[in-house]
This record gives sequence, structure tokens and C-alpha cells, in this order.
Amino acid sequence: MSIEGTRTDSGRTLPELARQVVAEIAPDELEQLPEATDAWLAGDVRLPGDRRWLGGSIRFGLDPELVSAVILPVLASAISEVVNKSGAGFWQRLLRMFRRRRPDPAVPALTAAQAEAVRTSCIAKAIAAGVAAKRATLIGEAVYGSLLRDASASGAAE
Amino acid sequence: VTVAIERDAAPTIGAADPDPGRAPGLRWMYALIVVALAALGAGASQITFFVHDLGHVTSVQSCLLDHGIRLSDPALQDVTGSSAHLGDFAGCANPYNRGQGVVMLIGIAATLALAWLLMLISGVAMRRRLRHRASARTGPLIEAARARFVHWCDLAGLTGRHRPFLLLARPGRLTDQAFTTALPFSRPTVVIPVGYVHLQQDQLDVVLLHELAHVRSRDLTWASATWWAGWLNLPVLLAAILPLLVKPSTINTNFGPTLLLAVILSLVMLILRSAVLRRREQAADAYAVQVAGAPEGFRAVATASTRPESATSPLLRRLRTWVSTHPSPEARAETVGSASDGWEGGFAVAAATGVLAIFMFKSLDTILIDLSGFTWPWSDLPGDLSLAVAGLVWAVTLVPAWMRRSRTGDTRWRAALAGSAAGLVAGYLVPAPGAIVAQGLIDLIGFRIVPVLWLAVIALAVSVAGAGFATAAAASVPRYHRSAVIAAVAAAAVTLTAALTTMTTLVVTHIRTPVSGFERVLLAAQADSEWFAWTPAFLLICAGVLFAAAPGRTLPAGTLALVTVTGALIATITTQIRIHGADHPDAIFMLLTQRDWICAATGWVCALVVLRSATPRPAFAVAILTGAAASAVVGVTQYVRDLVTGRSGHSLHNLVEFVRIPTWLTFVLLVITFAAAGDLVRWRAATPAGVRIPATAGVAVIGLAIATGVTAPLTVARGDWSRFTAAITAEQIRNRPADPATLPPNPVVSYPPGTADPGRALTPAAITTALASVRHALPSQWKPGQNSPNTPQKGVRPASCASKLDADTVVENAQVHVAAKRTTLELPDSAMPPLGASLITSVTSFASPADAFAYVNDAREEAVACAQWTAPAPGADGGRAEFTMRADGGTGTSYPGFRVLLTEGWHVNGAPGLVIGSQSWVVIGHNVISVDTVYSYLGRATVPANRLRTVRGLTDTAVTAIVASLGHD
Repeated sequence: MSIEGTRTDSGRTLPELARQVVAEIAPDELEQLPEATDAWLAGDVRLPGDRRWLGGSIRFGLDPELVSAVILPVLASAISEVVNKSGAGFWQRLLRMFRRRRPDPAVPALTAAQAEAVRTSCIAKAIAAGVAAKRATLIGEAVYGSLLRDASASGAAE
Repeated sequence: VTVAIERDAAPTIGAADPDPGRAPGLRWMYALIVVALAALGAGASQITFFVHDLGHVTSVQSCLLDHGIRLSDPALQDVTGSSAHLGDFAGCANPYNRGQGVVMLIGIAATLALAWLLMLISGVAMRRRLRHRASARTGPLIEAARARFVHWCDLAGLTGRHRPFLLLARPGRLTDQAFTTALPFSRPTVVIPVGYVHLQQDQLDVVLLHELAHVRSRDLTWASATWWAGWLNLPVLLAAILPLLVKPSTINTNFGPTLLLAVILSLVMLILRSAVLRRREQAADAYAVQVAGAPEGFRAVATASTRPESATSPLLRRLRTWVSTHPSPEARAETVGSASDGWEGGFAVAAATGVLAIFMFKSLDTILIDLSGFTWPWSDLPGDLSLAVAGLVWAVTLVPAWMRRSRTGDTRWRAALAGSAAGLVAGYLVPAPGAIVAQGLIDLIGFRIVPVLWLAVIALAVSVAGAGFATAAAASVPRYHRSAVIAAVAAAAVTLTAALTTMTTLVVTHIRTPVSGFERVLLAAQADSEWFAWTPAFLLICAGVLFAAAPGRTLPAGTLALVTVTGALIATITTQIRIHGADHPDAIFMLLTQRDWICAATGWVCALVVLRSATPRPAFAVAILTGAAASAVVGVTQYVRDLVTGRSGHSLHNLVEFVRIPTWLTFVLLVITFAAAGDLVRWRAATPAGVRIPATAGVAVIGLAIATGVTAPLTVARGDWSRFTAAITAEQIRNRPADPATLPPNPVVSYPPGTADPGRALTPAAITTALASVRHALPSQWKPGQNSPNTPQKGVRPASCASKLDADTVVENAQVHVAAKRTTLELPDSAMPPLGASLITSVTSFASPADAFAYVNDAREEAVACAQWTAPAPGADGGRAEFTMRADGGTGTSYPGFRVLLTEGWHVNGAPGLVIGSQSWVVIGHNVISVDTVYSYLGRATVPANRLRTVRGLTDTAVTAIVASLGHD
């Protein structure tokens, strides 16, 4: 399946951003990314560590650290948090909690300040997802760098 | 090209143990869950049966009343044990009991079947959900992962139809973690997220091996059912609570505490279930780490899974740990390769096992008795059988756990032993969930401190013995040798069964037959009369197996021989000196019993010698073996002595007794002293030479102490035999409460001047005089009161009682009598707080004695039909009051009649109120005397026993006064 997300001012989709990050910090997992992206686009991904009820099996109970498994939900969650920080009210957030929806793959255009906020959020969310702090920081930095490049390219274009 | 692609598809085996062996017993932990679930199911069904009165308890009570048996009689055990009443009791109670037994069985079966079905359905559902989950990826990484899976399967012996399927799953919510799923009788599926092929080699190995460990342990379906049992626990508990919501008044019965226990058991089960599943994960982790030899790989996986703790409260964190099915990643990272975190076989698990085993005993006992209807050839058989099964459950759960504890060198035994003892005691003392009345020992002993302490001592001793057998089996070569495990489990189970049965018998005897020395005689007599007197012989076999399965068999033979010979000499000499002076059965009994005890003490000292010696292993089994053998040898020497001196001829039966009784007493001594030596299993060793002199001297001193009566309080005292036989005789001829239906006819008497036949037809004046006599018989505070109208109750439930009351009203109104009068006396509340009392007396004289008898008989039938009913009570909670009526002993006269205790209970805003009436009916020829003492009590649901005695006494006093008055001219 090709990834043809709606392009926005940033000119990229989240899977593309994710690919860039994975290529930078875990290149051996690039092979895994297409299937992970398909699952994410289908709304069939949860952040590792989220508890869920599942009969008929007793699970391993451990989630080994794989950047490809967490990068898309972490990115989506961080960007959404920064972009919707002031917009989403309590009821909207509550509704979102119970609604399983297909994620929006578009990466909005972000200012430098927003990119900084996404970086911080990415690190926090990656750590919450079980990624080691050092690697979470790498993810945050890679995302930040990529977003800044977008921002500067966009500014140059203007 | 990554490092992963260069992996070796046929990796070398880890440096650690290639086959760590299967630790036994985890499956028995599942069995414990099954027992807990079954107990909850039985409890819920029993509560339902009781609350909805599925067995029609009123009909049982009526039937029992017809036969003069009162359920409230404290000596009901005597009634059921009496051959005279057993048939009547069984005839009345069997339909109810059978119904209860069947409902309990259905409850158990339904609960367990539901757990199994949930496992099956969820397994099928999981299979379906996994159908399109395979990753489409191909390539060297995928192939390498598959190759490693095959390799590890081969190494684990998972070949052919035992080999699981591997599903490398594409990413998704369902498959974001490795897991294994299985259905009964089919090959399991190991699901690995395809992304894991990017893990480091050692990390992928531990994930694969962890899942293969589950497959290899063949407990996947058990684990799944156990997982469901945790959830099923909640609706079962709800089923137990539901009757309370439907009928809140039941909280006033014993149901309240029972329900609390059901809640506690439910929580215990939830925690136990999680603990078992965690233990399973730990075992799989240990296997993976040991086989892969990659602790660092496992630690990396566990560390990578660590999440920030969301719960800030330590208590919340602890609670989450208790109900979690997996150890936390942090704990798994810390305890890499360790199969146990110490909880297994520790205080909590040992206590839970003890409680559940005894609950199982109680439930099984109830079911067996209920279903059989008291038709067992031996009355003790259901109890003994149930306790044996419970003992087996206890042993098969704890002994393997304690074997692992011993094997891993865990020295924390005190908590484990204390937990086991506490669990056994608690199981005995509290009623099983669902039990409406207290069952078993607590029903009899209440909370008497001495029996409870004895119970605690025996429970601790049994636990120490179990730990000793487990330690002995853990020393077997090869480890966990099957015969050694079986022997240890069997020995522990038999020890528990025999010890608790004996203890129960002795405590019950002590309470029911408070005759000095009765227990001492009974203790020795157990060896002759009960099946568990063969316990030592059985333990001897088990200890022999354990001994054979363990290395290091050197015995301190010289010391043991010296002690045995000394014991034999002491027994022979003390018998020889005194036998000619023993000319009374008492003296003979004392002499022979003392001799048995000397034989037993010799065995006991030999067992201690072994425990103190360094060389023999397993010390505990060898101690049992040696102790029993030594006492048997000394017993045989005494048989030979009797044979040689011509006291008795050869008899195989005698020979067996000479072996059986001393070995039984040795067993008793060992069990009791095990408790005193809690650290027995790791007692500090001494050299055989260092023990020789103290042991020999010890057996001589103990033997002489027994023979001279120093140990009389524990062994045997003069007069024990006489007291024992006298008590048995008294028990056999003991008078039982008179049956009101079979009271003797009116005594035939002649009437001297000034007296008259009290059964004659009376004039109104004679009745007035007779009723007036009551006031003279009572204290002066009693004053005449107003007669209240005799209005029939309306709105009575059940209908059977209502129709009987209505019919009686009609009959009463139509009754033709010669003369009748009723008076009421009242006692002010200052004299009998809180509300005073009233005494309603009446005498009715009929045209014929037959009419009079029919009148009383109607009243008696009313008591039978209305054992329990409700009637409207404006202002009371629920708008109704509850009434009970039951026979309440004799009337205090020799004339036909009966006394009933009538209660009326209600609640106002939750506060209880109660009215009791002690009512007597006596028929004397043409005349019927009726006396009713009414007493109200507020603030509690029962009347204090002393007040009840007072009320009954007032009724009896009035009856006696009227009877006496009628006898005067």
C-alpha cells in the first residue's frame, strides 16, 4: 500500500516523517516500517504499555524496544497534542478516548516553537511507551531536526 | 547488512543448563485455584438453596417436631448419633440434605464447567482472530527467526505433533506482544510480532524460549482457564450475594459472616490466581535464560519494557502487584533466571492452601453426608474420606513448592510453616463459604482456647512434617525423582489426615465426655480401632522410598542399636517386676500401656538421634524410618517376652498389635515434638559418637519415668481404664429428652381425702381457684392484667401455616367445652426490664378426655405446621414480622403435653425487636391447661440465655401450680 497522505503546508506525511526518523536512529528497522504504517493507518496500533483485556492467551508481558513499533503513535500523539493544545476541550478529549478512528497522516506546518514543543512531547511519550530515555531523546532530536528543516524550507519558500 | 542477518541459524546451546528440568507442582497450584473456585461455587449454590428455601426447611422442621427432635437442641449431635433417633432424623432430613448436596454439586460443576468453556471459547475466538494476522514479509531475517524457532523446538523436545506453530504476526493491537495460544488436544500457536526479528539475537532467543517453555510445560489451557477463573470469581461472588439483595432479612442469620468469608475467599482466590500466573511466567523466564544462557539478553528485553509507574501510592502499587498476572518488568529484570521470588510455599500460599484444603474437606463432607443420607456403614467414613482428600490436596500443593524451596536453599521456613499452620487452623475454625451453620470442630469447641491451641500445635506439627518430607524428597537423585515426590506427598497427606482426625476425636471426646484420662485411653485405643493406626506402617514405606532415592545412607547404627536394646531392657524389666502384682484390670491396663509407651519412647529417641546426626540423608525420612523400626523392634521383644513367660500364646494378631500400638504412639510423639522443633528440617548436626551417651541415658530415664508414673498425665494413670469403661457405659444408657408424642399415659393414682382427680370435669369455680393459685406461686410484683382478645392473625405466609391457623380458629370456635377461663398476670418493666412480662393462663374443661386430647393435639399440629411464618407488622422494616415456633422440652409435669418456644422478630429502622413466648399445653383427663409467658426484648435479635431460662421457669411454675391446684378437692 502506498502512503499518499494529504499534503499540507509542511509538504510531508507522518509516515514519511517517521521513516526519516527511523532511518536516522534505527535503520535496520526500516524494513518493518511499511507494515507498522499500514497498521497505524488502519487505527490498529496502541502505545506499548497500554493495558488491555484479552482472553484466550497469556501474553509475554514484556515489550522489547522497537522504534518502528512506537514511532508513529508517538509522533501522532505529540503533534496532535501541540497543535490541539488550546483547541480540544474536555468533552472532545473524552470523546477521543472512546473513539477508535483512523489517524490523520498529514503533518501540519509547525513553527519553531511548536517544533520545540513536539520534541519535548515526543521524548515524554516515548519514555512513557517504554523507550529508554537515551533513545527517546534521540527520537525527539531526530523529529525536531526534521521539523525544523520543514519549517526553514517553508520559510525559504515564502 | 545488519548484524541480525549474520546470525547463526543453528546457535550454540547456552552455557547454562541445557535442560533445567521441570519443576514439579505448578500444575497443583492450578488445582488449588480449581478448589477455590469449586468452594465458591459450592458456597454460592448452598446460599441460594438456603435463602430461597429450595429444600422446604419448614417441612423438615415439622417432620422433626413430629418425632420430638429439635433442631435447636445443643445435643443434636447425640440425636444423629443415636441409633434410636437416627432413622427418624434421617427420614426427615434426607430429602432436604440430598437436595442441598445435589445443588452444591451442580454449583461446583457449573462453575468449573464455565471456566473451562470460557477457556475454550476464548481460545477458539483467538484462533479466528489470528487467521489473517501473518506477516507478508520475507527475507533473510524472517528465515533466520524461523530457523531458530525450529532449533529451540528440537532442543526442547517439541517435535512431531508436540511442535507448536509459529506465527510471525504483522503489527496490530492484537499482536503487539509475543504470546502463545492453545486449545485442548491441538497444537499450540506461538505468536511473535514480526518486528521482533530486528531484536538482538539473544533477545529474540529469550522471547522464543519463554513461549516454548509454556508449550513445554503443557499448561497452556490450564493457565487460560486459571486466567478466566479470576474473572469468573466475580459473578460467582455476585451469585452468592444476590440472595441477600433479594431477601435482605437473611442477613440476620449466620449468612452474614458466611458472606463475608465468601468475599474474603474471593479476594484470596483473585490474588492466588495472579500469583500462580506470575509464578508460571517466572518459570518460563528461568527456562529461557538458562537454555539460551543469555541473562543479559533477557535483562535488556525486560529493561526495555519498563514503564514509568503510573500509580504514585505505594499501597496502590502493591495492590496492582498482587492482582497482576505478570511480574513487573523491573522485577523480571532483577530476578533474571530465578524460578521463584520466594512467595511460593511461603506464608500466603501455605495459608491459602491450608484454608482451602479444610474448606474442601467441609464441603466434601457435607456433600457425602447429604447425598448418602446417613447410610454409611461407618459413621466416620464421610469425614475421614473427605479429610483424606483434603490432605492430599494440601500435600500435592505444598510439598512440591517446599521441595523447590529446599532445593533453592531458601531458608525462610518459619513463615512458610506458620502460614500452613495458620491456614489449617483458620480453615477449621471458620465456616466454609455458603455454610449456613458453623461446621466441624468450631461448632463444638467454639473458641475455647485450649482446644484451639492444641489444634494450632498439631497443625504446626503437620506442617513441619510436610516440610520435612519435602526436604527429604528434594535430596533425591536424580532430582525430583518421581517415586520420591510421590512418597513425600503421600506421607505428608497421610500425616495430616491421621493427625487432624485423631486430634478432632480427642477434642470432641474431651468436651462431650469430661472424664479424666479418657483422652489418654482413646489415644492408645486409636491404634487398635481406626484405619489411620496404619499410618506409621504407611509412613515407614514412604520413608523407605525417600531413603532409597537419596544419597548418603550411613546410619549411626551403633548408637541406634544401643538405644533400642536399652529401651527393650527397660520395658522387659519393668514389666517383669510388676506383672505379678497386677491383679486388677486397672493395674494390668496401666502396666501394658506403660510398656507400649516405653517402646514408643525408644523409637522417638532413635528418631532424634538420626535428626541430630550429620551423615544420614534425608534426615527426616530416615528419622521416621528409624523411629518406627526401633519401636517395632522393642514391641516384638515384648511379644517374645510374653511368649516366653507364658503370659500368652502365639497369635499373629497379638504380634501385629505389639508392633502397631508402639509405632502409632511413636508417630504421635514425633508429630507433637515436630511442632516444638520448628527448625527441625535444618537442625544443627552432631557426630554420632556425641549423641550415643545422652541418647542411651535419655531412653533409660524416659522409660523409668513412664514406668514409675512420672509421665502419667501424658501417658497413662491409675484408674484410667475404670473411668473409661464407666464413661462408655454411661454414654450407652444415657437418658435422652422425652418425646412429647410418646409421653407415658396419666399415672394411675388413688385420691386420699382432701385430694381429687385432676382430670375430672371441672366447674367454673374450680377453674378460677386453679388459675388463682398461679398468682400465689409467683412473686408479689405480678399483678392481674387485662385479657387481650384472641384475634386470629391475618396475612400469614406461608399458605400452609395460614390455612392451619384459620382451620384451628374455626375448630376452636366450634369447640364444645364444659367450662373455661383465661387470666392474665403482668410483671412491670421495673421488675423485668426492658418491657416487663405477662403470663396468660387458661384451663378448659371438656366433655370427654378424648375432646381434651384432640384440642391439645390440634395445638401440637399447629406448632408442626407453623414452624416458621411471617405476618404483617405495621411500622416494621419490610412491613412484616417473622415468627418461629418450635418444641422446647418437657412441661415439667408427668402429664401428656408439650412446650413450645414462640418468637416474633422484626426490625424498625434496622434495630431489632423480639417477643418470645414460652407456651405449655398439658392435658389431664377432661382438662387442658395452657400457659403462655410473653417477654419482649429490644435492641438485639436474640434473648440472653438467662432470661430465656427465667421465662421457661415461669411457664413451668404456672403449670405446676395449676396441676397441683386441680389435684385438691
